[in-house]
Formats: sequence, structure tokens, C-alpha cells
Amino acid sequence: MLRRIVAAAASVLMLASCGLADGGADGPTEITYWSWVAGSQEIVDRFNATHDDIQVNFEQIPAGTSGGYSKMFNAVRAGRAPDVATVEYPQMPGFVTQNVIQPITRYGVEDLAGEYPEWAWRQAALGDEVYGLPKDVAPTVLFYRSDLFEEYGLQPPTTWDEYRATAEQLQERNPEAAITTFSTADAGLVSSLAWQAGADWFDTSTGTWALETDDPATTRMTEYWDGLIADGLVNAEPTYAEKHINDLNAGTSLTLLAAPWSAANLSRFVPELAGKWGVAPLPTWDGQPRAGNYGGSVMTLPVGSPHPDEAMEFARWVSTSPDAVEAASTMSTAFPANVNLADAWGAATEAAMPYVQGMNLTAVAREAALSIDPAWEWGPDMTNGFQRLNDRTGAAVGSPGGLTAALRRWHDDMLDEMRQRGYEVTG
Amino acid sequence: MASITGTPGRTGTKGKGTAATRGGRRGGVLLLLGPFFALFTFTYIGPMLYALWLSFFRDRYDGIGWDGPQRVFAGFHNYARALTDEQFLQGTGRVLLYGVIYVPLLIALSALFALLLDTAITAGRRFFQTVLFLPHIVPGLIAAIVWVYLYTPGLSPIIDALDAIGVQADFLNGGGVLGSLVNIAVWQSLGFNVVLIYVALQAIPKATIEAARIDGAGEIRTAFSVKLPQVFPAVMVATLFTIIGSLQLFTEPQIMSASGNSSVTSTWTPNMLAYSAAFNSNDYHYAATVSVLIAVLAGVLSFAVTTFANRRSAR
Repeated sequence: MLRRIVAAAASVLMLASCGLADGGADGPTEITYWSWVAGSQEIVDRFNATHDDIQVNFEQIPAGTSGGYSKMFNAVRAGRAPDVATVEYPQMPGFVTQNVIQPITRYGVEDLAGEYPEWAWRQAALGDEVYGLPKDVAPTVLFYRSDLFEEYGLQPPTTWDEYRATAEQLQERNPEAAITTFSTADAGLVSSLAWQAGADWFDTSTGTWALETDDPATTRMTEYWDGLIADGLVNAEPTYAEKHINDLNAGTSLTLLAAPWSAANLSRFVPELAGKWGVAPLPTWDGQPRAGNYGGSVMTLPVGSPHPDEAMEFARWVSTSPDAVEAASTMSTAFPANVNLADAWGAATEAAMPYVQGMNLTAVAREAALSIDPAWEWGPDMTNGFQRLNDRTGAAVGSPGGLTAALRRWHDDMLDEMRQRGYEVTG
Repeated sequence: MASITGTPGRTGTKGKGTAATRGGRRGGVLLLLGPFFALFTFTYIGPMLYALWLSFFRDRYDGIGWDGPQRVFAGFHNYARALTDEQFLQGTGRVLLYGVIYVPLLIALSALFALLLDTAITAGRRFFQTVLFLPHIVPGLIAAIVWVYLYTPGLSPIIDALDAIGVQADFLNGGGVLGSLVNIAVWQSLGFNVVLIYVALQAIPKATIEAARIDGAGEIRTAFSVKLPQVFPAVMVATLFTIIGSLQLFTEPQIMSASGNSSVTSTWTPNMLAYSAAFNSNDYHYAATVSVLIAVLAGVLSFAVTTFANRRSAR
């Protein structure tokens, strides 16, 4: 184990030491950008082609929760930080408290606040400072098989009650089919569903950490899914795994709890289903528009960023320029955090990716992005928190009341963990 | 034991060196062993001491912690945390249980196959030796991926076949997991341990075996009463390696956990807990603490095994 840690640390140092070379005194400033978000290389290429004074070296790192965050943390500790990097929303508070990313308020970014949905800005502005510019967001939407819905005479449901009724009708018409595949281990999805239901798990308003997962909104949501699973109306399995892909292709898993980025996933995993998907707002509890967030990333400056001014210029461009949105559209269907770019995004994405044509994704996603509750906060250690939640749901989902019980156990796990890590916790 | 002194080629030119050559030899020994000890200190002793040092500190935050952590001396806080941590205790219990099943099974099978190879006809021997050793050449990670595939319902031909004869098997959940892991480990390590014991069997002088035969011992009697006691040290070495290896159980459950189909959690073994603390939580203090505790446990068990072995061979 020790050897493994040392080896990992050594490789991080070696990797970090590459590519930090400066340009000559008169040449463009070279900066390093770390990300794993699809389309990053294309964004960097476009930036470099349109800028003379700054040249960006893109370095692909492993996905944050698969080692990327660990790499960033170690690079910052070792004084080898990249100039700029992406961080997902759930990891923002932890990266602030652990001194991995620095405030950018001094760059006058507060003028940009109006470009983004309020919730997205608040997820990047923590304490009294702004720590990043939102790059993309992932408002929850419902992907449904429009061809099969028509065949079975079903309508896209607008409330969760209707969703259940639709699932029941579907099984009457085709006993083999389930309305969806509910992932047994997708903490991001479970949180976004709680968020949509009106929960507010973590709370920092009292000056210490608080966490609540047995509030009425969360419980209503978990009991609902426990019920659907118990009644066999949905498949409880890992999503995007072999079995799920087979079910999608066979038309026995008809909807997907998703976000705009899911379109690119579907085009890769089930290319044969092009033209057969429709997108609707995610059903809600009271029929009023309301979404949760299920992914997305923020442009941040790591502590020790060697060229913070140039890095900020690049970050600002990535977060606000239609050029950047268009460049990424061949690789990704992540929705821009800057909702003013939604139409540019829609046009570029439909042109670059025929798979999304006719889905009505842009309008639905834009609506959804603006309907997310700004009160939601994340905890100080969500990489571990999501892992622990996946452990809990993986073991419990499928058994009676499994999801509900998993969230209560996870609550205790997290409180204990936050205390052990040295945070002040009130309960 | 008289036969050993009779082995040709053991009477050499020992004890003829002068003082000068002895001094040169000492220099040579230093030259040959020096790099080893330098590397050993740098890559092994050093990190161990560093881990020990890390384990006595922790972070502390003011309120929410927006101002960042302060590193404070923790005394035995991290150790107290580990020893009351459900994940650590359950994980340790699991690897111990795994070891209790896996170690005797592997050693018994290895000894059995080694003895069989030693008695089998020469033609078959080379073939079986290769077949047994092949899995050891497959990298552990790849082996784990292949096995997890074979354990996954809907993908596995094995589960389909069992289904066809009416057997419901769940290799990735609940009580089945331990057996599945033992199976992978036995498959992977059997060849190596067979070779280890087989080589020791080859070193038994032919005269000893012949003597046993002349005294009327059959193959089985020879195997258990003559051969096995002679290779006892090799068996003990294999046992020691296997115990330490089973405490460090990591790759296979990690792959199972990542597959999403399994009840194996991300902190299922102590090593996975240390990994998760270091690379998910950036909590190197706790990761170091868990690592130190695994090392102590491995040390204690190794000491117990060697003590047992020494007493046994002294008898």
C-alpha cells in the first residue's frame, strides 16, 4: 500500500513537471489546462487559433472521481499546479476548504453573475468569495422513446404520479418492458432527484456544517422509487452497463432520467436508436417546472497557478464565448452554464451531432436549467461522499425500503466522517 | 541424512582465502548489497517512517472551513478512529476470514499438485506444469476483470449454464463474494506455489526416496511421510507469502466494486479503505494510519507463522 502511494505521488510529480515550460520573453504566454471534460481539446484548439498572446496546453487527466481530483490535490501540494482546471459542482466546497482552488473575485468576475442561472453561480461562490466560472450545467430532463410511446399510446408524464401510471400502463401492454432503469449506484442522480424534490441536504448557513437526508422531500422521493422498484415497474441495475444497453436496444427500458450530456452518451452506446428519442421536462411532484442538477463543471484557478491572469482570460472565454460552445459540440452535449448561449449551443449541437436532431433538447434543457433551486449546497468531501452513497445504495436498493434506508445510513456516515476530518458539525 | 554428504560436487575449495582476499570479499559484499539497501531504505523504510509520522497528525477547520485546514498533532486520534471505524473493523474481519479459507486451501492444493507432478510420468509433467503456471502470467488486474465478467449475470456463460440446470448462482453479492474472491486468488496463485514446492521436492535426494521404497512405502506413504516433511520450509514460505498477500487484498474486490453489480463496497478491505481515504478524500493521515495498522497485523501474523515453523523444524 505504501509503495502504491509513493508510486502514485511520484508519477503525479513527474506528470506535473511536464508541460510547464514558459514561452520566450516576447512570445505568447503558455498556460496549462487540466480537464477530462469531453470536448476540452477542441475548445483549446479553437482558443489557440483565435488568440496570439496566450497559448493553452491541454492535458487530459483522468475523470475527477477516477483519480483526477487526487492528481490536482497532489499537484497543488507539490507546488506544481496547472494554470487552470475544471472542477465539478459537488467538489467545489471541498476544494475550497482544502486550499486546492483560489478565489477569483479580484478579477471582477461578479459582473458575470447575471450570465448564469442563480443556482450555478451560487455553487461557485462560496463564503465571501467567487471560486470559479461555471462552464456547463446538467439540468435533469427525461429522455423517452418517442417511437415506442406512440406505439403503446403513452404520453410523456408531467408528474411523478403520472410517471408511475405510465409505467403501469406500459406493463399491461408489454410485460417485458420497464419504464426505466434506475441506477443502483449513481449518487449524482439520487442527489439531483432529492434536489428536484425540494430537499437541501447540506447547510452552511449557521456557520457550521449540518446535513439532513430524512426531510419530507427526500423521503417522498426515496419512498416513491422504492415503491416502483418493489412493484417491478423499473429495473434496478447499473446504468450504461451491458444489461442496460441491451434493454435500451431491445426497447424494454423506455425512458432515461438524464441531463443534456446524456445525448452524447446515447449516441455512443445506442447509435441505432437515432431519431427515436424525445426529450421532456423531468416529471415533477406538483406539476410546476422544477429540475435538479446532475453533472456539469466549473473553470477554476488552482492555488499556485503560475499564470493566473492569462488563466482567467482563458477561463472567461471558455465560460462565456459562443466559440467555445461551438467548438465542443462535436464531442459533447454538455449544456452551457451561460444560458444566453443556449441557442448557439443548440444550433451547433444539432449541426455537429445529428443524433440530437428533433429532440427539442435545447428548449427543454434551457427551461430546466432556469428552474433549479438555488438553495442546494454540497458537503466538504463529496468525492468520498458520492462513493459512500454508492456503497449504501448499491447494497440496499432493491430490498424493501432500500433507498430510503440507504440515505439515512449515509447521513450518519457523512456526519461521522466530517467530524473525523476536523470540521465543525452541528447535526 | 547421510545421503546429503554423499552428494557429489559439494566438496569445493572452501576456506582457502587469505586475509587480503577476505577484505576484498567484504568490499565486494558491500558493493553487491549496497545498492539493495540504499533502494530498500529509500523506497521502503523511508516511506514507512513517513507514513508513521503522517499518522500522528490531522487537519482541523474553523467553522465551515473556508479558510483552509490547519495541520495539528493528533496523538493517537487516527488510531482510535480506525479501531472504532466500522469500515476498518469489518474490512479486517473480511480479510481474516478470507485468509482462513484461502490460505489453507491454496497451500493444501499446491502441495497436492506438487506431489502429483513429482510422481506423474515425465510426458504429462511438463504439460501440467505449464497449464498450472499459466494463470500466474496473467496480470492480476486482467485476471480480475475476466473473472468479474464471468461472474456477471447476463454476460457470464457460466451463470447461463448453471441457470440451465436450475442452479441460481450469485457470485457478486452477499455470502458468495468471499468464495468468488478465493476462487480468483487460487486460480491465480496456484501455479506459482506449486512450482515453489515442486522445486523443493526436486531437491530431495533420490536416495532418500529409494530408501523409502525399499523399506516398502507406497507412493502415498512416501509422499506424506517422506517428501512432505522434507519440503516443510518451502511450504512455510508459501504460507507466509500467502498470508501477507491475503491481508493486502485489493485488486479483485476493487474491480468487483467498480463493476457496479456487486455488494462489495469501496472500502471492503482495509487496503481499499486506505486507498479511498488517500485518493477520494485526500486524507493522507487516515490512509497512513490504516496502512500502518495493516503492516502491524501482517508483522504479527508473519511472526506467528515463523515462530510456529521454527519450533516445528526444531522438533
